Amino acid sequence: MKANMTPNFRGWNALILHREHTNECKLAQQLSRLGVKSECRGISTAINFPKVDIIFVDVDEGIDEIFPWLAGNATIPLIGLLGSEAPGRLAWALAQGISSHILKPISNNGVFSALTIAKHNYDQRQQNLIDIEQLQQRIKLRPVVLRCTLQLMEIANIDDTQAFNVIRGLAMEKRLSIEELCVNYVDDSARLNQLYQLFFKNNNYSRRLK
Amino acid sequence: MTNLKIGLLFSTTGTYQAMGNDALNGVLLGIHEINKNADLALQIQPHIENPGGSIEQYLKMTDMMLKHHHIQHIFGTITSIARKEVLPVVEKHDGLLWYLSPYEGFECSENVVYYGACPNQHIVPLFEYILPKYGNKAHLIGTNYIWGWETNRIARELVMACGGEVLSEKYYAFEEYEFSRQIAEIIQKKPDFILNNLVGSSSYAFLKTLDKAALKYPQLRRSNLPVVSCNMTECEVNNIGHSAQGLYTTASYFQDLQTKENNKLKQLATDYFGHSISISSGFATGFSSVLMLAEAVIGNGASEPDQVKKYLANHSFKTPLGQLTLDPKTNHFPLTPYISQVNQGLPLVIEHTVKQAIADPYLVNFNAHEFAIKIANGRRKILSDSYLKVIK
Repeated sequence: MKANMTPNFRGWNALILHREHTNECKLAQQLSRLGVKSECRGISTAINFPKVDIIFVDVDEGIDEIFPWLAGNATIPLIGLLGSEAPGRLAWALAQGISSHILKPISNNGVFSALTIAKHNYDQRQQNLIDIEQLQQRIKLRPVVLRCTLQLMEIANIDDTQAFNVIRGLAMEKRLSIEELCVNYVDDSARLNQLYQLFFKNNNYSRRLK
Repeated sequence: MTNLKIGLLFSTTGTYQAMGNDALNGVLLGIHEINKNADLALQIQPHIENPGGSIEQYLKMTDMMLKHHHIQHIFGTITSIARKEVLPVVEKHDGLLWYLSPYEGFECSENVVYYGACPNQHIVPLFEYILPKYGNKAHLIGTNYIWGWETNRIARELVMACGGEVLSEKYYAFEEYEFSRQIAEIIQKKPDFILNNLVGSSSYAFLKTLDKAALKYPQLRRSNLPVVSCNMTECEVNNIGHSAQGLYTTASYFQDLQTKENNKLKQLATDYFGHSISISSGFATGFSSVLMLAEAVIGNGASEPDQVKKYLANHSFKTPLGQLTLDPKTNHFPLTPYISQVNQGLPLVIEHTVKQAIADPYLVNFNAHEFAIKIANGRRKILSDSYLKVIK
């Protein structure tokens, strides 16, 4: 069982986009307790955007132009600092793709959990994007898989289920996705036949098909 | 003459009454020390409440102390559930909670003076001592709330960091006394040691059941299967009797400490209570925190929590726990972790002392890799010190 590791933010750099206020001071103080260095800037300064690991942004006064990316395309986790719960402000925060939030007035309580949740949500969202991209690619290649299956049916004189089982088995053997395998062998009946013979030899094919 | 009213919020009845009484007695002795000194321009008046271990009572009593009695300084709460319950009210009224017990960390309130040890001052040094000596297959047991959960989670992380294994992890309600299934599991899984994070009477029952089973199963004897703890203190060891024998525990104070300040404390306690009493870390922290508060109030001429905290951070105090200054970054004290063992009827004899450690409540500076190296080096040293050596 994997140990439930203690989240650690030692060495992180944070940017606080909030006008100078006790909220921002409390946040900076708590961040330093967590080993995070922070820099505070007012909400309007968008130039020379520093390289940081996380951004705390004042949702009450936030505008799209403060970020060097389009809304919703942040390349690092964002944490919203919420005073007003007006739906318009919440909509702005959601459009930015905040990964977690802290309610104002900020106290020492809540910063560690906001960082932990933000990191988790951001990483998971990035992973989801990668997974979605891969799945979309595979969906696009459906016709290729179909064509390859049909070609194998013809070459080996087998039905569609058997042909698909051979393709899946070969993909597993070669540690490729079914789509990748089909892209490599489709429309090349000589190679497909060769591959099928190899599979037949290695896997006692006749028994497997039954 | 300044008259300072302070709130004392300790459960002196209920399942963890031994710890509550111990800390309360320490605070009362501290108050007595201040009040008997006619030269001081300060008198402390205690307002004592006993929540009896009931969470609702903790909240109600804290509210009353802050709102109706206008008390700014509250000493107390033993468990983390109680502390978490009263904390929002203390913060709302800008009071100061003097928290004296070891706890699981991951907290840093401006309205608390943390005088108890946090994980880098208890479980980490305890495991640095225990793992090389006994091995890294652990059996974790605890009371079913944040202290047990979080301390055992850190324990799991430490054990895993050095390639060890957690063979079992079980939690029990505060007043659970039935442990026979747990003992059967221990016999079956054969851990190298047991980490006991049970609290109060339930913990004593577990040790007694284990001891009884050891009559039939010698592998359960304390000498073969050590039981270690981060929250067992002198005041409880006496209640447990023979079953406490061999128990390892860590704290930042033990009665066994041979220092001038501690000898003075023991003498004062004997004079005050009329007989020699068992003193634990709760007693020592309770006593010395009152003295620190008094010094700060006299020095500042004011008792506002912020000013008191500033004073604590700018002055050094000679206490039975050593020379201490509050760390303003975390509102915790740097503490010296000691590891003790109940030995031959003597309660908790110090076996090992670690360098004073600055509190790191969020374990920011903990490094699993360095921890693993320390354990491996410790193991190597124990093997090389052994009489039996492998010669190629």
